[in-house]
Amino acid sequence: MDVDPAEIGKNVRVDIPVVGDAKNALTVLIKEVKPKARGAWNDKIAQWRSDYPLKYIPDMNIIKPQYIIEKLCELAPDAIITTEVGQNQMWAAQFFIHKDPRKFISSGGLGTMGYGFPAAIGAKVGRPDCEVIDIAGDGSFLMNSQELATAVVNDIPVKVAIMNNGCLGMVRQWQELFFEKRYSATILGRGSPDFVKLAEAYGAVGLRATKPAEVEPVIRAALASDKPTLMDFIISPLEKVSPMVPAGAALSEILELEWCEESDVCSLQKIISETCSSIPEKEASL
Amino acid sequence: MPPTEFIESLDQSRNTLKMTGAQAVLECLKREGVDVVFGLPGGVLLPLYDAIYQSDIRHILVRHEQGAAHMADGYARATGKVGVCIATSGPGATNLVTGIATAYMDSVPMVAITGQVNTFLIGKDAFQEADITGITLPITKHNYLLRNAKDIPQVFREAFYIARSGRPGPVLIDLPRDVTVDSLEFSWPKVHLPGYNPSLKVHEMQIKKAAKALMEAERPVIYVGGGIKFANAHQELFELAIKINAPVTTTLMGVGCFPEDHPLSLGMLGMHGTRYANYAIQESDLIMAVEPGLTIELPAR
Repeated sequence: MDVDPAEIGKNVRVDIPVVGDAKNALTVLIKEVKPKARGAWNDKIAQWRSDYPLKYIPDMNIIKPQYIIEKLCELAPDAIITTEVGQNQMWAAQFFIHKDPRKFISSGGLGTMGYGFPAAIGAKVGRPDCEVIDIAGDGSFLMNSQELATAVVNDIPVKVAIMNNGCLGMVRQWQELFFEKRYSATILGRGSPDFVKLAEAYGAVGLRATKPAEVEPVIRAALASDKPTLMDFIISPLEKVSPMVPAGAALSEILELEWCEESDVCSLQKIISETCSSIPEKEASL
Repeated sequence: MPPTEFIESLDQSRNTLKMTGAQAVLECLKREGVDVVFGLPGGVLLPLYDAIYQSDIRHILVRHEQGAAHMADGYARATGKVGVCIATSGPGATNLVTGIATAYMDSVPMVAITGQVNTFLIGKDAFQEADITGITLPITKHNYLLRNAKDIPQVFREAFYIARSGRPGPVLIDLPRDVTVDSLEFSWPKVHLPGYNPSLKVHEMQIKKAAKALMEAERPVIYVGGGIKFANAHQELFELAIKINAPVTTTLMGVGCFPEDHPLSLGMLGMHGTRYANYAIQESDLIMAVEPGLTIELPAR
């Protein structure tokens, strides 16, 4: 069913094409169908759901990005979420419970890094009544961070949550899985600024969390702020988006990606410590 | 004095008013219900920005034109209205390209206004000249290079109509400097596009076939993309799924179109979707795809 006839059969063979406005088509379709129970099918799905939920391994010392998203969802369930592109985008799609069609804003087709922050500003201008949060990565955010000036000077109080892993995480994940851990050009190293200072330099508010216990206070402080506010969450560079269907595989060949082995942790941390300036150890400035 | 006041006072008599091209652009934006534009000025846009200065439209000054395009896009996705961005000729216009392509791929209604060098300089490698209608041909739903001020009302009317109707998308209007300075008799035209007829009505026979298939299926899955958002059809989708007890999965673009806390929600499918959504698709005997854009990251098998 598509309003654009060119979409019918473009990539997937279609048995029954329905061309037209989805609202019109669904309205007629609702009248044509009769109520139907599907106990067995829905029971089977319920079983899969309980056997294979979206999950992650919680950690007492390292901030898990999935935990940040869950906390954002808990504390701002009605927020408009925009995303950058990469791991941040997938975690935002997976771990925030989305209920409103106009409250998840993401570059799906082109996959534009740097999209989420200006899109958040535009969304906030259009819906000033809504909390608007850009779920970002450190790589993506830098691509349009100059718009902090636009947000500050026009009093557009958007919030940015950076999942700061010091690398281009999604590409790094693919290198780990499919290129024998050769991290070519994905470690950002000393090139990343201190995001709290960056926000402050523009007159915005900057907050940082380096430990799981700091996540909730930082989010609460950001939500209470009436200024553009950036949250810098220091997460592990090793975190992966899971589950994952490898390119070209069938959907049922979906893999659960486990945490790296100890030796992987050591080698990647070595690479990062050699190229990174140490992440400031200061407490979240609340 | 804002041109609109003139127009309203003259509407009864002859429905036209003499004004500059730049003033006409602002008048068109007002009549299309635009209350905010995102942009950054430049040399060829001086007459347009002078008209903006004298109008009551809200202009948000960005720091890079890519930001303007994404802001117009975010505004459009959050409100359902057409987002408007403005950039100057040459580098200003090319800086919009990524934002226009982003909106095009995700079917976002947007009107991008770019400055252009004077019409008599086009093609002569003038300062800050770029062939932006050529550059954006494959990433816009439609685009225009204005050559006469008198065409401004018609072109803007069409641009907004094309951007928001059918499958929405970005439309670019390239506005040479002299076109914004020349004067015209402003009148508000009707849209007449015989070659453009978005297919909104549905074929009843096809719906009956779809209904029959849904009734016969034992293991159906409804698979939803982002088009539901701009069709404003999420309520109808919800009603249908509940009535026939069919589980619903969404693409990344469709996230939020079905409440994820509902028992029939499978969440997102695909490369990083939920396992249960992907298993359900594989084991289903019928997939009903609603505005899916079956393109990215949907494995072949």
